[in-house]
Amino acid sequence: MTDPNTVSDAAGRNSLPPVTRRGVVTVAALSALLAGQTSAQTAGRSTGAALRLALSAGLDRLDPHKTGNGTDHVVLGGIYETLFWRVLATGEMQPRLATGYRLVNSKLWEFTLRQGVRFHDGTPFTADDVKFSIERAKEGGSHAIALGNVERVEVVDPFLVRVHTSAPDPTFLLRMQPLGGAGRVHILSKVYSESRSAQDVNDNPMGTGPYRMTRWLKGRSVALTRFDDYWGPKPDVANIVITFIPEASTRVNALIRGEVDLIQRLPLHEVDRIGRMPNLNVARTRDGLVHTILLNSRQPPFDDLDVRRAFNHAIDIRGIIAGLLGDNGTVLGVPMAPNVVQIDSTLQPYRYDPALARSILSSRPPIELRTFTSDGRYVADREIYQAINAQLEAVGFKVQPQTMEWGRLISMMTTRSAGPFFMIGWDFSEGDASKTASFTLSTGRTSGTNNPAYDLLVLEAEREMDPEKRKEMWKRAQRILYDNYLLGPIWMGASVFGASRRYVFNADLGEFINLAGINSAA
Amino acid sequence: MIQAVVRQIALGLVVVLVAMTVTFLLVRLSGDPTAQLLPEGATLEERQALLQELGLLAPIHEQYLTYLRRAVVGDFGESYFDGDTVSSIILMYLPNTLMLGAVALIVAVTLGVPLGVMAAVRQGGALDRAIQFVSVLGASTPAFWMALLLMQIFAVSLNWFPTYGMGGWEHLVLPAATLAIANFPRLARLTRSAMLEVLPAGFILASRAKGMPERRVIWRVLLRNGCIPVLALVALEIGGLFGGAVLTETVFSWPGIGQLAIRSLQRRDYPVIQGIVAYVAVMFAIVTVVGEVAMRAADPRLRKR
Repeated sequence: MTDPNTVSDAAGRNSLPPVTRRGVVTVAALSALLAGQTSAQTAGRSTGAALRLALSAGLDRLDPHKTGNGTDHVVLGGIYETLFWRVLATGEMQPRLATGYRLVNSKLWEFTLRQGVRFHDGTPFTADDVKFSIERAKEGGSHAIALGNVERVEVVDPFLVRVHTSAPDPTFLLRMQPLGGAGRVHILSKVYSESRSAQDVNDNPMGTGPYRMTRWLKGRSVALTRFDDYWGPKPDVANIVITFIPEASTRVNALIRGEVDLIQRLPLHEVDRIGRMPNLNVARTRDGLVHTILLNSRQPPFDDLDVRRAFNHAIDIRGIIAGLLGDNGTVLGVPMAPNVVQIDSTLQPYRYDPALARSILSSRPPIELRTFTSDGRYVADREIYQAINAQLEAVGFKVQPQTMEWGRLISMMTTRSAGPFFMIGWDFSEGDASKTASFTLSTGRTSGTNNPAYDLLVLEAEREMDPEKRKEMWKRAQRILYDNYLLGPIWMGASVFGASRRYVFNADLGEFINLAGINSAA
Repeated sequence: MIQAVVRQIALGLVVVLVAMTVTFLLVRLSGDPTAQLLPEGATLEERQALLQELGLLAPIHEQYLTYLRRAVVGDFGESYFDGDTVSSIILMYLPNTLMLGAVALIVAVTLGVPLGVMAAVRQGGALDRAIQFVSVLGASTPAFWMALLLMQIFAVSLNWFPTYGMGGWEHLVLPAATLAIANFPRLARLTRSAMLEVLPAGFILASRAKGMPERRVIWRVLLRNGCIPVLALVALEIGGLFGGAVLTETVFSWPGIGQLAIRSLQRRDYPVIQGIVAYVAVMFAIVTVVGEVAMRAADPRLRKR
């Protein structure tokens, strides 16, 4: 195992220089250290230095079946693979560990597997690993819900697997690709995982991906090295060191100083400055998150359609998003990302019409809204809340906002005690309408909607295997949401990255970074 | 002497128990960890199952007794996220905090104490005023702002030191400087006033009359007699620094206890939060006892009490 040239501790030092008895660092020790430092650095450069990537938060777990955390998945995406890869822009399913699939009947999927694939420990990949991984994700994962329909997995031969579902599940294939958050089936080695504790598998992830993990200093960094026996095209970058810098201004400074080559979540106010620097680039993409204001229409005041109408026409969401996010923002009419196959793009955001909102409210007793707002959870969330609240006040609502720490707020949401309206963000990078169901169905944990006609239609759509029919159902469902003003304004932010010009990095997956897709500019 | 130390230890134990109890209750009031451990679409059954697994469905007094019973032997359970034991996680981050804290403390003491003495000896002089001014400036600057300012000057503009993370000694400079700047003014001001208390005393005059060199008068006689409150403050500073500097560690991405505390709070990682608070409380208690002993060692008059 060769150790990649790491950044911060080029010589593996993390100790203080020797201190003499009088507590003074000797000049000799200092100069020796400095000399060591520079030689280590130059050595690092000459042998093809590692790409240094700084994520905006630390890691939770490196077990792909147990985490939905975005930063975890950036690392895991280099180490583990799924049966397919979904192209976000087109929705095309590209083969990865599977070479093809067949829908035998509405409850039976058949996957043909790629031959000649090896795990990082040299063992061959077979159908047993697929069966094991699907079952492991379903049983042991905290995201088992996504695989609730899986009845049994059948190994037909070493490269043919059949999955039986208990009911038709049109979204099953989406679990076999990595985008879209939790509940994806990454492929682990059966032999490797069964011979170790779950903690050991978490601490030493081992997959078939283009990179293998060489070192994980918990809380500090993860080092990845190109896997020489990778079945597919070899990535351009040989070594990657991933670190974590939660403070945004520090991330930017580290990029400017050249300590890191790529950073997540470049603050919007830094975009122009970084873009003007000769050695740096800004890469951006439509964020994978769709934001909306969820209205609690189960109880007053929003159980009244007219009050929901007043709420929506009172808010100039186009103006707010343009003002705060500029060309990084997109405003939508329905709660789906534009890349979602089933989206009805004829439904446009509600018209800003404060006069209409005022006239609706003028005939009623004053409506008081005690709301809870987040601060710093989503891009510009505090500012968006403030703008919305001011516009609601302007048409006659009485708004009493209170800022809440996110952990507390999300607990309140799941117990339906988070007030009449609140902001959420959903990852739509899997490009399917089923995501919408999770926050609009009456059974959803955070949902404030309770519309039986809508529920019926969506549940039916989620059993429909014909893509065209399913699209039609979802369009009707969107119409119900829209005509009944069941949600507040809807928008998307952007994911913005800062990158050194020594690398070519295309942001096209929201916050996710496809490590194998980064190339050297030289 | 022995009695006083025993009393101090008993008091320390009470403080630790109170801190642990309050934390235990507060984290349980602050939100549900399953909200972040489970995906959005999780069902109520899954949530209940996870709560059961984490032992959060037991009656609160049972949870509390179990927690105390295990904590006594140093077992704080496992992190909800990492799967590692809390003790091993804290042990992983603790050396980093201790290293940063020790360097910051050495810098703060070597700066603060001499400056305080000099200010006292030349009371009202230009040096005294300058020191006062710098102290007020240092003490009233928020740590995160100072951190970003130092980073901007010494890392980005001058390119002398790295901006973040751990590695060689050069990674220590900016975070340690940030902490030292926040801490030395208190030391300087207290040293100055402590010295001013002692200066008029007869033995100073007597030492000078004996022809003792002025330097020895100041560093031997004056400091030895005036150091008691300074020692007490140093003990407090040690407690503060070794408990992890949340803002400084976060800004510089220094993998210490402070950063771990913030991250665990955000994630509702109950066991880790409880472990950190217990550690900090125990450390404060120990430092207080050691400080008490040190003060008595320095001042024979205190030993009789």
